[in-house]
Amino acid sequence: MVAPLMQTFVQRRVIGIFLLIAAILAVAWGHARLAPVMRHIAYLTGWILLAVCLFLTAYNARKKLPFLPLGNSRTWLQIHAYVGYLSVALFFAHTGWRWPEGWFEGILAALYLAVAASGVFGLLWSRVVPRRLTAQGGEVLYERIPTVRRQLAERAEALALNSVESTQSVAIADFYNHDLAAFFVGPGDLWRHLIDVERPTDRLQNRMDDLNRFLTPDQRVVLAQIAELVRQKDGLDYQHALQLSLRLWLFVHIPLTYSLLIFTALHVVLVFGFSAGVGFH
Amino acid sequence: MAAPLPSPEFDRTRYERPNDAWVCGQACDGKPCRAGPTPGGACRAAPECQPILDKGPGEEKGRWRCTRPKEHGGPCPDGPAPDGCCGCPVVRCAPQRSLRNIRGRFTLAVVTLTIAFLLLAIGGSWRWRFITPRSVSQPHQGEAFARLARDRLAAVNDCGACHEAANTGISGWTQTALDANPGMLSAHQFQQVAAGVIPMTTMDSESCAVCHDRHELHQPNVVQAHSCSVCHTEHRGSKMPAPADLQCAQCHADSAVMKASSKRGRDIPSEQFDPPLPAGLVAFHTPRPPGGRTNLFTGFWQGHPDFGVRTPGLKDPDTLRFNHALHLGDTVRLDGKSLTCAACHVPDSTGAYMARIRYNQQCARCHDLQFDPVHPELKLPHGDVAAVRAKLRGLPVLYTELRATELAAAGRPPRRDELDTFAQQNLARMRQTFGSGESLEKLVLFTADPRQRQPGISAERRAHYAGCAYCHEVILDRERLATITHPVIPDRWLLKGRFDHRKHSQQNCESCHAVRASQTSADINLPSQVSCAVCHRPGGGAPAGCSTCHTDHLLRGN
Repeated sequence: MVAPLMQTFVQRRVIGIFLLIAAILAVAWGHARLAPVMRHIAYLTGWILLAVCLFLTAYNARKKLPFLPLGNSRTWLQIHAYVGYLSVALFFAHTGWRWPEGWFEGILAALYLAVAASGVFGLLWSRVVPRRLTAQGGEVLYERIPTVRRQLAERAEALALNSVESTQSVAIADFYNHDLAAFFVGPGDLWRHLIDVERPTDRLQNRMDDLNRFLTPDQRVVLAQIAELVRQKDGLDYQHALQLSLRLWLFVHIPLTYSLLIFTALHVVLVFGFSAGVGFH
Repeated sequence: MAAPLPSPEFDRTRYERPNDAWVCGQACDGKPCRAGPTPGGACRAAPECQPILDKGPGEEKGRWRCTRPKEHGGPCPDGPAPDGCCGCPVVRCAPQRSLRNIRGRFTLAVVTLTIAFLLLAIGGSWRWRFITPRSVSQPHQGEAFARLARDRLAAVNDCGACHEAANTGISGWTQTALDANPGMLSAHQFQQVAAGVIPMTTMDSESCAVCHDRHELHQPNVVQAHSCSVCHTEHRGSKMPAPADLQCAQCHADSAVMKASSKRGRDIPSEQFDPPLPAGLVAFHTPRPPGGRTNLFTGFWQGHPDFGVRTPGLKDPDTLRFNHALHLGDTVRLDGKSLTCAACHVPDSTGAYMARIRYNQQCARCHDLQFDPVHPELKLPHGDVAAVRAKLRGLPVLYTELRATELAAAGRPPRRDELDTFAQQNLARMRQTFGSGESLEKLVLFTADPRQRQPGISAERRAHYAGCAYCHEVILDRERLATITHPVIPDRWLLKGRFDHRKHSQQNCESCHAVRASQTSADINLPSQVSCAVCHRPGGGAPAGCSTCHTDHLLRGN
């Protein structure tokens, strides 16, 4: 009876947050308790932090090796997020709550914080975007967006061209050529869709409303069909903008992670290469 | 609220491969070919079919037939070309990298840039500035230290003076890191290292000790010497931070360590534990407890033993007789006012300690060494019994000179008979008052209590004519000559730590030194550890760290 309940998302999240808070408290308590008696506690926190960073990086490797029985990606992602939060506590314990002063260590710390910040942003964004996409409707696979966009453009163009013959008027065709052709060609209004403060198609809709007053009933039917395609294209641009953003933040998170690991490797070499000595007496 | 958009229609039979490195060049136009590019990014566009030549029986030329499969539209209307080639145009494209592939290449570029940046940063002349976590302390920088590092440590740069790795290249850093002991993989020593228990290392012996060659590592009974870096942490700015309390507590709060130290200290002479003082200073040496100073404690306010000078029963052996209570009471007055501590105790040139009490500077203002109540201007010398004795035995000359001086002051030429008469009269008076010359000498040297009755001197004046023994111990030597035991006033009482009176100037002297009830020099009027810990504790308003007082290493050969 318990097992099925444990599968629920809410319960997993509650357990995850509980474990995370417990782990952070354990780090804080352990550091506060050990720091007074361990002069070089940075060695301990440093190795733990490195191990945690390697584990976090292993998530990317896990995605490249889907054939290995290492658990599903969803579980990995959840653990990745919680361990990532824990690493922030370890980082501050390692640095002693002060900003390193040297160039190298300053860059190392900045890299870590940039990776952590981008990770937190990505996690939050990946929570926000699906809700917005679901609310908007019209879900399309990102890779298929160009195909769908082309189909919409072809249908709109066909309606406009056919209206010349069916309505004996070039009004809609001119309107399409002048105002809508560029809109249907490619993705647009990336930032407006991301910040979601203004409907980018309001301007087009107003023009169609203006045009609508001068059209015959037949033309209005055609224009209404085109308006529906404009609405679908707008939804497609919305999908494109948000789904692209879900992929672009990784352009920050992943490269900086590898830079961080390179800096960390040198950090370890410097710590031990320039430590007290090369032998006990 | 607007109704959600319906999902646009698309061909559900298509199979997307977002993980592929390349996508069809026409994908962004919404017309990707079905074959897609090769894994290497080449376009795979080819004729839509391979026409087949249908040749009937007896027919020579035959007819080319389109073989385009049904799912791709079936045979094309125009059919193959006369030469048997596919008649449909071959639309080739320039395949584009997928977003994932671009991200991978971008990551690779960032990694390459990172490595290049690091190679430039640590390969150039400013590598030390780049990798130094924080500037070193003032004594370990500058031209003088560079010269020292070059001449005495054979270092190629400042960093090489302490860090062996700094005398090598980047590969040397890695090798040194791998050879480090405790090393990065020495898990069995990790607990030790993290706890700060690092024995002497090559850096200590080959770098620190080369210049700091006279520094003993703490006390002689230390069981396990620690690396200098355990307590002295460099790269913390221009002022090296003081050793942390936890380093002290590591041994002083460890019963096993203290027990071993106590055992080891039994065979070491007590004087080896006292730090040497600058020449000329006098120290009050406290006897070392039988078990040594091996009490367990974690901080000054947490179990620190009382100062050695506060050992019960310990007395100041100085022979000088001094009564603090009397001097601070209403009896003794200077210029009509009661004395304060500052009337006698003045800071030395550093201001940290009090200057030594000297007769001429502190005592002579009240304690003039007069001996003749009629001629108080006549005084005996201080500090030399023989000189006192010689002066008393030359009283005729003394009176003659006194009269000559008086006459000269009056503008009258001295006459021999007048001078002799003056001397004889005073000698007779002195004889009548004190008896013989020997008797006078004895009174001057041995009168310990001027309040005792003395013939010819009123009680009021008598108080001003104390003998040497009033303050000093006067004894007879083997030749029965009076000798004064030289008083020894310690300049330093607390030898294990330092003290700075300047930092305590806001305090009243008597809040620490309870001298108002002290009637004898044997009293040691130093404050107790408990009274110090009132302020020197967390929240007490004064620093409470061990290094606040304990700062110095023992120095060898001093």
